[in-house]
Amino acid sequence: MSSTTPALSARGITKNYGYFPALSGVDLDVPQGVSVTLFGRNGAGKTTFLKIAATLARASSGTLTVCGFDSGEAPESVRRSIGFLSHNTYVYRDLTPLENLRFFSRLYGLDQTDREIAALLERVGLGDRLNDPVRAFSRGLLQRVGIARVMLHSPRVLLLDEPYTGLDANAVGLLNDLLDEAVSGGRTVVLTTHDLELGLRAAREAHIIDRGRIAYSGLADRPETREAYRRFIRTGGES
Amino acid sequence: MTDRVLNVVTPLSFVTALYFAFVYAPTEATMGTVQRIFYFHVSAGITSYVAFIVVGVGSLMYLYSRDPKWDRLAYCSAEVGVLFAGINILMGMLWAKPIWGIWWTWDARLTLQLLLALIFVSYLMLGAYVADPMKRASLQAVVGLLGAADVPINYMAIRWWRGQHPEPVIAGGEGSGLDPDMYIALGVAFVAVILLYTYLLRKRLAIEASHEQIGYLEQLVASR
Amino acid sequence: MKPIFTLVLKDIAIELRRKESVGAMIMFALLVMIVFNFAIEAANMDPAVRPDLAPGVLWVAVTLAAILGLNRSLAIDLDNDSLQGLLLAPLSRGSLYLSKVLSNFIFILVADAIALPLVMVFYDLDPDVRLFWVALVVVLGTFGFAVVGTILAMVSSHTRMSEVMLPVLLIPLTIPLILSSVAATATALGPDGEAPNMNLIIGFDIIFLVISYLVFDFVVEE
Repeated sequence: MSSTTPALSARGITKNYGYFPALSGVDLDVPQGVSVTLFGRNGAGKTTFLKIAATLARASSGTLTVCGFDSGEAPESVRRSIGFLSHNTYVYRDLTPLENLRFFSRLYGLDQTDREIAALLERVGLGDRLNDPVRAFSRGLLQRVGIARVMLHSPRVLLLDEPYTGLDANAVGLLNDLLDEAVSGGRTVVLTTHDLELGLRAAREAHIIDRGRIAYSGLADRPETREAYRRFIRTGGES
Repeated sequence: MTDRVLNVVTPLSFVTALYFAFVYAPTEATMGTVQRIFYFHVSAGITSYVAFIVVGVGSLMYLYSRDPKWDRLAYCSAEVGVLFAGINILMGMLWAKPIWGIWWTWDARLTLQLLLALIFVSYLMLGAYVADPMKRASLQAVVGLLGAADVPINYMAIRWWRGQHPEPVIAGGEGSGLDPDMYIALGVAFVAVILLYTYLLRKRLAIEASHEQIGYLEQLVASR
Repeated sequence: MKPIFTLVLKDIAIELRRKESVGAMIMFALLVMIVFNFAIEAANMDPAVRPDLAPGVLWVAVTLAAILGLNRSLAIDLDNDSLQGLLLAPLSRGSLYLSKVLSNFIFILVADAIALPLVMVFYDLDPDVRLFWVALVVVLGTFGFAVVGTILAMVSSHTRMSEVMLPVLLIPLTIPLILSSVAATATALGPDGEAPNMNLIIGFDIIFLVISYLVFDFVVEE
């Protein structure tokens, strides 16, 4: 793709659950190499949108492309370009972190060597737990394995759904470091979170989803953005 | 309009069918009056298969188009269809007991009907136990499709099996000397039963449509 | 192709480490046969007739063990939502389905490999029997269970009582498979040297494999 192709581009995305519209027309463009945060109350549609972007869910109508690949026509190419992280860690309890990542590496057709994988695990602070079954890990350690898994195939776009939930301060710091590194490495980050400060910390743009639509878009460092957050999220939205 | 016509025609056809079954049709030589249940027993059986074909078509169309109206058609037809399958089995038993002295025999048709009823029931149970309504529709459609593929396979398997191990055939085997008047009575009974199915299906669909409308409005109010 | 093997190898690796699913399936098959023996006691059967029971008992044991195995296999995928990790991988939903079918097939087959000799012991089967045909029927029938069981296990996982829902869905749909497998096993064990009729089993396997492969998306996506 060229340097002007948006990393993510959504047009008219709707998602209906029966008669209930979870998303009623989302248009969004995320340029390459930019960090973007999506805010919204519970049930506003942030997770649904991210899942559609990750091809875990199918939109009822509209189109969404990631790195130029259409999620309806080339879902596997989309999946190759993205790394999706939520509070689920997707790791197999009976395998060690090394074995888990080795499996994912082969699944993605990467054939990385054990040394490369070990190096990645060291980056996330698991250097000395490489060969312990994941079964015994605390939540924080599990999340680190999850983070390593997400970075394994060097995705161009990171989709993170409330990744800070349940993390201790160390893990939050680790995640922030990795996100900063990702952005300076030219990757695109799309983040959803409840926490205003964490959400605005490294983001360039912020959008607020309310009742299935994008209700506000703006730059993260502007006061209007905080104002909009207060308006939509704190007080309960427009009537 | 169709509903109004059905409201009148359905009971009328039933009265007619009862006349044909109990008065017009000649009494069967060996089995006597009990045999008259055959007209409704077979009609209910055929109708249950028609109902399942509708489930299959609805399931396929829903998977293809994601239009909720197909999903609604499928599971409403399943609810009405299982009724007719049950009636068929019950009538089969009521017929078998006085004639052969046993409540049940694993004859081909009864066994097939039982399997169909089981597939209906498992389809409906699935619907009852899935929490997310969107997921329910997709999952039921998949199972409906698998069930529809299963029915002809069942037919072949049971027929072949019974061919290996013959047993008394409850319905006396089609074409084993049915009087032409009996065919007419069967035809009339079938029309009546199929009309009843259509009537019940439409009523069930209407209830379901209202249900979903209410659900939608509730969601609308709740999100304000 | 290669991702499918990677997935199957991963499932095998996990099972080797856990050692619980296959062990439980084997134990279950054994227990079913023992219960059957006591259940049939009341019929006061002529010992010469006992071998005739073998095909039926074998397939009941296989059916129940298969249900157990399918539930366990699904539980591993739902742990930590590992399935979602697989859904994010760059492989088609159909390939994912095939890999699961293969894994489940292998596990049930291992249980079969123990159940069959057990049946031969308990029901006085002549060891000089044409084992090839029997093995073929068992393999084809088991494959059918894996094909339908895998997709139905995934369907059941969305329900509240998923472990009960699986047999409720699986058994009505697989009755023609069970019926044909029992009949074919009986023919294979019979004295006449006939090759068993496996058309229905093969037809069942193919039809349901194709349908499930095509609709698997709808089961795993939202």
